[in-house]
Amino acid sequence: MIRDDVCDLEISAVAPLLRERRLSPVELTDAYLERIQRLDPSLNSYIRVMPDQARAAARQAEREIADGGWRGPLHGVPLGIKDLFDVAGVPTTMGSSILRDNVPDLDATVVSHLKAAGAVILGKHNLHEFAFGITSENPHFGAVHNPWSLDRVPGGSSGGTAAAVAAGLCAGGLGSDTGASIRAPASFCGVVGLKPTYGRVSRAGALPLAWSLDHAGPLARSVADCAILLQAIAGHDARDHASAMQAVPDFSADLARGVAGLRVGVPREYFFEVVEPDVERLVRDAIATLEQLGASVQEVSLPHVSHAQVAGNVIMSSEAAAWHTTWLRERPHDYGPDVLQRIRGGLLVRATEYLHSQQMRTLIQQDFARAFERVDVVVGPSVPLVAPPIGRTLEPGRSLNVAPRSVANRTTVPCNLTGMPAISVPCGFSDGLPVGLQIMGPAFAEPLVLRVAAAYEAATDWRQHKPRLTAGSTARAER
Amino acid sequence: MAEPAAGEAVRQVVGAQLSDREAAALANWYVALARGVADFPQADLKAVEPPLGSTPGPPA
Repeated sequence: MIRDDVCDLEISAVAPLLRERRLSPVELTDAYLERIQRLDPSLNSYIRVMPDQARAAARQAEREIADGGWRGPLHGVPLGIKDLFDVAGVPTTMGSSILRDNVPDLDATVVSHLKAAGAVILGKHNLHEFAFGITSENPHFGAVHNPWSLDRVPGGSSGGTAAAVAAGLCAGGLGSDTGASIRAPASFCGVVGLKPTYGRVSRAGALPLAWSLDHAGPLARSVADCAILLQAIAGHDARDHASAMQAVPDFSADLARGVAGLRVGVPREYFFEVVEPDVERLVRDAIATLEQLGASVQEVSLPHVSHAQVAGNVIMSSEAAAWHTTWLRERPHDYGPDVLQRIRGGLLVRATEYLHSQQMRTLIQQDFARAFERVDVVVGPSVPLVAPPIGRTLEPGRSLNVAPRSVANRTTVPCNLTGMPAISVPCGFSDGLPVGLQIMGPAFAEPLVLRVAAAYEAATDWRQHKPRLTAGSTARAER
Repeated sequence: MAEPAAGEAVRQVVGAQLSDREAAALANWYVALARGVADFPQADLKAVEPPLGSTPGPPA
């Protein structure tokens, strides 16, 4: 048996070992499966582990690599998938009781891309029910726990994916983001999460929350790993009505270019108005780091962005209610109370309010377009706070007198409305809990967003910090 | 807090047996959201279209 610490290796580090046959995909997969078996009872990050399928895929990867057929940096790499993406023959529950026995015949397009890249699918990750919430306190499959502090939420809705990536229970993962659902858990769990441009990554075979806001994207332990994962899943797909006819660039090509000469915008309004003091301090320190690396920093104005949360919540609840209408009437008792309340709320929203919210969306898009005439990227906090305690997300926090649930998508939802790419990269710790820096760029500028994130990541050592988990004990941080 | 009449309206729209507490919670949630929309500068809204469009169907 190889050592458990291979599970801490980033994809960019493990790929050459696999390619050069210094590490076996089968042994690596077994190491992850053993680690999941040992540690996941504390985290509950997986709804379903798929050991037989994973080992079969690993054996196939091993044979192909031995025969000189290395497919690329994901070949033989064990990944996890949020349980709203279809994997053929395996239930896609969306974290719900209603879909417990929903077994698709086809892979989601992103899953088929990962399989084509030779990845090993370890299993399906736990999430907030129907992806409609930021806590991943799932009433049907149990709450996901944050590996940095087991009594805290991991964020959501891709909470299982972020927790598993942070804890070394998969090398990377696939999440979705409708208002915060990749970036908030990435921030809370101290990993990197990228919401690509709307239309960049197919959502075919992913169950929807809100069609006009839904995005699929990667979570990983480094910016480079996010670029590798995005490379595999990006591209036009005729199965997705919203998929963009856009050339796919090399997302890793600019990672080492640095930020010298780039212009970084810091929003004058909104992003720093409701934020924990420690989070603001760490994000402003990160902005200072970018400046020290040669970027110029200037303030930008986004006059309509303060209405983003209202517009986002109107659109999200309305579109969710439209998708859930039949079950709302026929199976209300099969929903958890918070999700039922939020989706039912969408039934009350009037068409004029939906359309006004869509107009607000246009104005917010115009605000960002004007900002991007002056700057290359806009930065701010990923989430205004650190991970709150499980079961207490409706109570005001320690240094921010608002309920975490009411502000968790505050700084992320603008990019769901505009469709712009945005990444969360770790930028420090507040009382041992991770904080994320959000970097937002113009549509289809993922290479630029990744470049800025990589420059910041390379200048700091935050990703060297790992949560230390032992079976059956509470988590604590170590370097 | 929403009026009882608002609770009844909520029950009719939602089409479910809701307790008074559930109906009031939904009404309050909606009122807060609707106020948020109404607070947006109306003159700004007049200046733009929502990002909705008609997608051409298959060629004739």
